[in-house]
Amino acid sequence: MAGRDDERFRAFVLRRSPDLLRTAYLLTGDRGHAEDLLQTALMKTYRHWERVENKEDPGAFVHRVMVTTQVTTWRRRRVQERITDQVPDAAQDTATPGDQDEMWPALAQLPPRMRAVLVLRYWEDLSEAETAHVLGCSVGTVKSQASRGLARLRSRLSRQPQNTEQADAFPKGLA
Amino acid sequence: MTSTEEQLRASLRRHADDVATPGDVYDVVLRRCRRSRRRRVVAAVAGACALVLIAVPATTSLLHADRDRDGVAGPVQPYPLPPRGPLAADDDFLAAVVRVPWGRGPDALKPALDTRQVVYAGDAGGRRWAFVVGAVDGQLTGVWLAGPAGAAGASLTLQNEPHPVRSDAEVYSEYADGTEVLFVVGALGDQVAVSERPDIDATGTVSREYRPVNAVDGVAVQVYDQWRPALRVRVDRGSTTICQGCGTGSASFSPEDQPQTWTDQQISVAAEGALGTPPDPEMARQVLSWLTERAGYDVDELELSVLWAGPVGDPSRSDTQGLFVSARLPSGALAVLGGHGQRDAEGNRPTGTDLLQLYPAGTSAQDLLLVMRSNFYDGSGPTPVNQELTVLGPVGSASFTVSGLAATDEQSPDGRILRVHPGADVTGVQARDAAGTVLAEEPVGDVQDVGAP
Repeated sequence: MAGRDDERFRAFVLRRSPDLLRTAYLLTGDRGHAEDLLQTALMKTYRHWERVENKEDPGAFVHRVMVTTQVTTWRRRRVQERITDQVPDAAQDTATPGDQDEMWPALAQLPPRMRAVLVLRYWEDLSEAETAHVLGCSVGTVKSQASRGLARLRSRLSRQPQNTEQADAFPKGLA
Repeated sequence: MTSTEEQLRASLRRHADDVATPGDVYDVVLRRCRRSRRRRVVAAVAGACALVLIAVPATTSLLHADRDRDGVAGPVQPYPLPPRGPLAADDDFLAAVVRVPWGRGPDALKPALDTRQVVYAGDAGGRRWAFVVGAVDGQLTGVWLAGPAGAAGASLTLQNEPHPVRSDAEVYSEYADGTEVLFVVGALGDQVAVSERPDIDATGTVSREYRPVNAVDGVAVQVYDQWRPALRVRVDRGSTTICQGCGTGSASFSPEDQPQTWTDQQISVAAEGALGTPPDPEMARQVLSWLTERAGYDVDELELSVLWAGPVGDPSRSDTQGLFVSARLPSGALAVLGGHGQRDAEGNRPTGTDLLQLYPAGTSAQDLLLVMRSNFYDGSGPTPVNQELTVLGPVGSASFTVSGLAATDEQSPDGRILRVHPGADVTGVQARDAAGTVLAEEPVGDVQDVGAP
């Protein structure tokens, strides 16, 4: 990376890393994973700096890398990987004492890309078009992922029976 | 805004506010970049030692031996050929690109400038490329650099990790912005052939056809307008094939260039009429990834059908799902895949492929007896704690006979589906109709190792 680009990257990291870490935490639900995800995304951004469109503020690029890294890493696991029956202690930062937030564990149950859409729309306050640009998908996909994500959250919060939830999650015969 | 949206927004804000400000992320990122480069050089050395080459006499080696007969390492021998490629005559460009740092800080690899050489330089796929080698820790090491078309040598950046230069040929590909570029850099006179993906014919037989490509001075460059994950290379030197089936490693693609896969809607439509419960679409995609990422098919070429999805494994865990899917290939052959995935605490479902069978054209999945052996683990070690056979019988199945089980003639508890815990003596399964007539039978092997074709 050339000297001027290095200075721009450094300035970007200093300026945006607090917000990006919060986003990473909302994507992963775990502080340790969030730090690792942020560092990994910044590493990839640093290594592929020439592909960044807006070098003054590559936030969109980093967001996209965080989401795709999160989704792609999970997607490429194979059956030989050990599957634990026990929930790891730090897998999900659940509600703190006295916290009645039922939304947080419900959010943790969503698939990573669906969760990412909700985080970008309702935490980052991105528009549907901006969210689609970050994720590299269509606006229609953002709409459907957001709609289905909210439906699942609503269902879990109202403690619907399992089969009803599945029917809601996998509607057949969509045009 | 609905109450759910308001609750969601409040929850996200509350949890985000709890996140402490990070430390010096910039320095951490740089250190990880350097450590990552180091680890990959070590891994590349191990990988190079494991390469299997076909009939490689000493005379076909591109590199001179750097050890004497007593095994004593001498000075690193330079790359034996001058720069090649369209920019090989641009001395200013070459002089600049060899000076591009291979890293930053005290841990970066810094081959001495007088050991560095440009092996290849040219434009391809809308970008400018160079392959540069240098001496690192007594070994000739190479790295690819790239930049926009027309870029100055000094502005190129590293594209992969420095790795030992192979004695046969350098094979590298990179996919970005919708274009994959393949480089094969061998010796003068080398002939290069490429197989873009395996061929699965109408009988279900897998083969690879290698197509000769133009190689100028032993260098072949191919540009593709999409990701080619199943790409393989063959290099012939004289009458000897020195490298066949050489992969190009993991394709490097930018976040916006994700390989095409089936959408949730496509999975849902494919599951119409399927037995069991609605399939987890992400799990289905993972099981099907063999077809797209290993066999190189495009999604649009395949006719997908979900045969069955349902619970497998520990009955107390309702979130472990098994799956059988079929895909009709362009040749008419039928591919059937099976797998299972267990949902983890984060809501993900890591999945692998336990079964892959290829059938000739004309085969109907409804007539097949499918037997999938799956291992389940509890994280305490590499030994599976449970193993299960999941059997899907052909249409009309009323019962199954599992050879080697203490109890035979197992009644299928769910029509055409049977789940049993096999012992070491289980050798086969028969499906019978209501009259007891055998409809189909299949041998039972070990858990299938589904690799790349």
